[in-house]
Amino acid sequence: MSAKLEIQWTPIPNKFITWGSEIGLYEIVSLRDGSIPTIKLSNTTGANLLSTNSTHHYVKCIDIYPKSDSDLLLAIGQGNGRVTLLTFGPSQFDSLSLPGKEFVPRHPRQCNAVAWNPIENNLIAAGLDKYRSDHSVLLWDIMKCPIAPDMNGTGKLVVNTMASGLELARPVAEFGISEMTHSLAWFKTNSKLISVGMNLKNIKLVDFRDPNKSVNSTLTKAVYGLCMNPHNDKHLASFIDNQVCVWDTRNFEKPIVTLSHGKPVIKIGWCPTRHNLLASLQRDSSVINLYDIQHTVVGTEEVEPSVLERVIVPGSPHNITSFSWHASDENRLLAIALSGSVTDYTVFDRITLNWAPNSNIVWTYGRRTMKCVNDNSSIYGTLQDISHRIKQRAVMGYGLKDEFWKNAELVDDEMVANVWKWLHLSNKLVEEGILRGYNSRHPGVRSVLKVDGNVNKSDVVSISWSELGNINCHSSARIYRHEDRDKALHLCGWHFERDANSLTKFLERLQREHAFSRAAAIAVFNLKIKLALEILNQASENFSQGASLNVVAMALAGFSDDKNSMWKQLCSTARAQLVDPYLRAMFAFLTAENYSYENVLNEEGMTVDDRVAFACMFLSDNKLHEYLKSLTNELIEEGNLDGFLLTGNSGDGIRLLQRYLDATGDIQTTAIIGVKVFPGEVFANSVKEWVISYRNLLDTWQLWNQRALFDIMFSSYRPSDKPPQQVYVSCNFCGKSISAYMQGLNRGRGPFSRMGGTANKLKMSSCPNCRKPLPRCAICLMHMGTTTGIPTNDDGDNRLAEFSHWFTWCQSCRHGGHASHMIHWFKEHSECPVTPCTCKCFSVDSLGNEVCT
Amino acid sequence: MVSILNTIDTGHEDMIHDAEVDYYGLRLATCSSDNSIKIYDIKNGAHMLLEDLKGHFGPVWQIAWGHPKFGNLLASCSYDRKVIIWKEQQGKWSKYYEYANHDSSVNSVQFAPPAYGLILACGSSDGCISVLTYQSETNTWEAKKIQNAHAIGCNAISWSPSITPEPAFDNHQPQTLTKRLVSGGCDNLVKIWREDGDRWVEESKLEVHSDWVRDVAWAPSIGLSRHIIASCSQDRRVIIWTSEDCQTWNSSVMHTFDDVVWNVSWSLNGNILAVSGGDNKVTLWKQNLEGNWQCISDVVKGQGQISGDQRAL
Repeated sequence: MSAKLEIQWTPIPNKFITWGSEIGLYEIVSLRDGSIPTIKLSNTTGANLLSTNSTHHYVKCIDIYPKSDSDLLLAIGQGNGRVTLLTFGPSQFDSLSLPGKEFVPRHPRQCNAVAWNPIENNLIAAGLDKYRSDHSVLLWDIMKCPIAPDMNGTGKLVVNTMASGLELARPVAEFGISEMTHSLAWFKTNSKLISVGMNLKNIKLVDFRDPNKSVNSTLTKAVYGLCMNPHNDKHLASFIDNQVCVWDTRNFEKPIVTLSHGKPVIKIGWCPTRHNLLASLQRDSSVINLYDIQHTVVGTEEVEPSVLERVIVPGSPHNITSFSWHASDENRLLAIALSGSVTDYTVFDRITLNWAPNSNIVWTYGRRTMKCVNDNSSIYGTLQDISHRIKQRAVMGYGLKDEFWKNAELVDDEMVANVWKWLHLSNKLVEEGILRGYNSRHPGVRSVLKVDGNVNKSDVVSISWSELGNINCHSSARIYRHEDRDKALHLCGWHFERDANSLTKFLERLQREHAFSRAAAIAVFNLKIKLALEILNQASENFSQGASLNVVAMALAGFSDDKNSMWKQLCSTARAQLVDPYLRAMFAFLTAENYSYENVLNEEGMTVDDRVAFACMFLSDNKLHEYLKSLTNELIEEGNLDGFLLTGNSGDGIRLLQRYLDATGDIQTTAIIGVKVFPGEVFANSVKEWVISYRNLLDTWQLWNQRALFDIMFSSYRPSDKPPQQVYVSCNFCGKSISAYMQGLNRGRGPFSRMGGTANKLKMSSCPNCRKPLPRCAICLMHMGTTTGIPTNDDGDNRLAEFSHWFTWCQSCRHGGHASHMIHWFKEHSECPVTPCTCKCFSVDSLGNEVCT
Repeated sequence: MVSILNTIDTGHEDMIHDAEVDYYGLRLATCSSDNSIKIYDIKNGAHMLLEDLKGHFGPVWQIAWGHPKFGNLLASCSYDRKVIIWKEQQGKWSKYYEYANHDSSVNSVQFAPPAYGLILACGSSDGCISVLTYQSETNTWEAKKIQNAHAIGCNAISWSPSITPEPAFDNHQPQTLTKRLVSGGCDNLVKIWREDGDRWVEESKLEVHSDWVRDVAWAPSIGLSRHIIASCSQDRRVIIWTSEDCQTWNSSVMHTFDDVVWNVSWSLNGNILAVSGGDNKVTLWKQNLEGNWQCISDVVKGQGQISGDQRAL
């Protein structure tokens, strides 16, 4: 009895058999259905045992009737050479009396292989061991066989005695006298042809209509496990010991490739769903080797075959004894281990993957299918791909607004919005003359304070706390003043230094925005503790989210600067537990000793503006410069655009933008700020790179309008970088440029100047040089230069420059006319308006794509 | 979960090896072991077969779209040792140029960034890399070959992005562009090549992978101050290479997967990397502010996952 366990899929897609000492029939069930199968095959599948059959003890090989669609008919090759037909229970084959039928060789010896003919399904080939004067390949016809004597269908053995009166079945064909057959394989397309591995020395291709001479043969020891490539009848594979050979029957002398293995091979099999994929299994191994074998003949030349090897581990750590490919499910196989455990495994093919320029991700899904995710899918939004956001912002017109603050409204990113607001502020301050003489529209705090130059002496003003109405206090707050500091405070938005009214307004705005703690903290930083108390109390009374603030107000009310006071000690310890950064900073300020405010300055929850403004008020010159330097470097390093407040549009600003770009990939904001804020003469090169990159993006997305508007914006900031003219309109006849005259005309020179200074009176319908007419519009047949004839509302629209009057033409067929006529025409037509022309101009034009969508 | 993904049945009879979307994202080309190349219109979520190109006599491994400024060009490379450049004229695709000067399967093709001109690079199993340059004056293709680029074979190539000023804006200081290529091969190496006069020289040899390098991808530069290359290998790792100057490269292992990593591909802005592996998953990776790479498609798992697409059987 063989301990070897074999496994095989049946032609019924969800059933398989295992066989060793007994034959078991299993049905695959999905675990998703909630059923609990007898055995688990994978994370998603299990199997239930349907039936077992243990009547045959010397099973050597099995093949299953290929046309079994509801019932299974097995051909079992046994140790005594008999081939028995077997079914599991009652079946459609009962009426044909097939179950239990036996095909008996004249002389008993081991049956090594059985194989149903894939086309003439009634034929079974059996390959047997050698017997002196008998054939070793017998071809049986199941329909030409005496009825088994026992009709119970239990597969009772037929006693084989030549003397019995029973008529024994005779093979339809036989060959291989005194030879030994190791393995058999039918050709898939030629039902008469079979390949046979014989005598440990050759593979023969035999046409059984003339079995005595082989069609083709090769000398090789690799005679085991013959199998035919299911997709290519010319390729077959076989193995011996550690070697697997792949043969091309057209050139049978030597194998195409020989695959060497570390251990003896015990089974090979072509994948039925993939071309040229051969699997092999070695003894005592828990892996299956896969070989993707490419072999092509180009013309008469044979291309050197290539083999891609891959190793799969079907899960079980135990030694695999057999496997079976599923006939139709892509790359699916079953593997059975020595322990009897079965694994359902799918070999995943290489997934090719590409990220398309329009934000699609495309990948292969199985053999035939492609999957793609595009930027319309909700899933794409969750990726937060910056390019996707850039595209959305570009469509909204982000960056094209002349007023900086309007751009802020178009971004959903707070940091970017703040930059635009600051740019607006700094620009306004320069325009109002508050900041003067910096040779820049957006000077940063550092250049305002001249941090990199000499240290300016600031005045120190001491204000006693008790004078401000804090009776528990004896010391005083020390404030540094200088006109540069005032300017810096303006840049921070703290322009209320000497003006109580503007402070109140500022705080009221903060309160309206429900930023109570910030308002209170700023009030405290401006030494208005009473005001802070009011803010906190109001917040706790009127707004639910400020409810806890009255406790804070209570604490604040007890402010005392006595070093040993209970208040100070308590506040110092309780401060760390405060969640709100502004409240933390507020108490840090009040409990600070020796005028060292590290806890305020390094409070990262505060906005950079507030921290810088605080520093400008309370730090001595040296400390201030030091602080600003380190803060600038920190912010640049982080690519935090808040750092713009410090750098302004200096070289550091460019570095900051570059860091921001490196960190976020937001080329759009970078390029636009680069163009709008940094003067072209100084920073041309780096900005130019950004501009090119951003333009390429817009091109890829076919956002031509946005790109054109961006270019216009760009040239308005960089008049010297104006792109050269790219389109020239020249006369068909004399070849002279017409646009040159048009340009000259605007300047009041040239031959047409006498026609009047204003362009809207101009009707130029012939070449100004040779007086030949200009081309006609394909629709109205009027010459170029005339108006469209469609009356427009008012005179102002009637200019020649109006786009609808413009002459436009197809880039591929060169026909054209007035733009408005063309657009009108292509609303109802797909082909060019010129009669014999079949050009689909509009679908060629990308504008057509946009109009269609 | 599947409903938000577009599914395209390609009708290929065998395994698809590559799928590329053109510059504008309007057309998809696929190539397969069934020797054919198919082109689909995928505008507005449709997928209509436009063309079925047959001209190769072996599996077609990779395809590449040319930049539209050179017309509609598609390059393909095959096991049959040929590289074919296809061109669309009047809506019909035909063979434009065929290059058959490799001794073995050609595994990878890619067009150079348009700023360099019309140039195609091809990597082959014969270990060589060919660079084909179109000469508009003579309407010919000139081939340069890098011999023995990778022992046993070259599996993948990728061009460095061109970081160049547009000529229209750069009237005074003409800059020479340095063309660079990265290639990965069966010798487990990633190599950087630089064009030096009329030769290509090996600029860097990056040795970290311990098995065949399967794919390399030079990240698109959108104004970034550094170069980034992703490479993936049968050693189950994805490695990110970064350099400021293309001379010294730093490597960091982005992730070690459970199975072979087949392909890597950068998003348009080069800040998200898509990775496909032998575990049948597509995952997306992004660098966080601390510089670590995180799988972001796992992060969005709850909202519909891209990863974990078990093949529907």
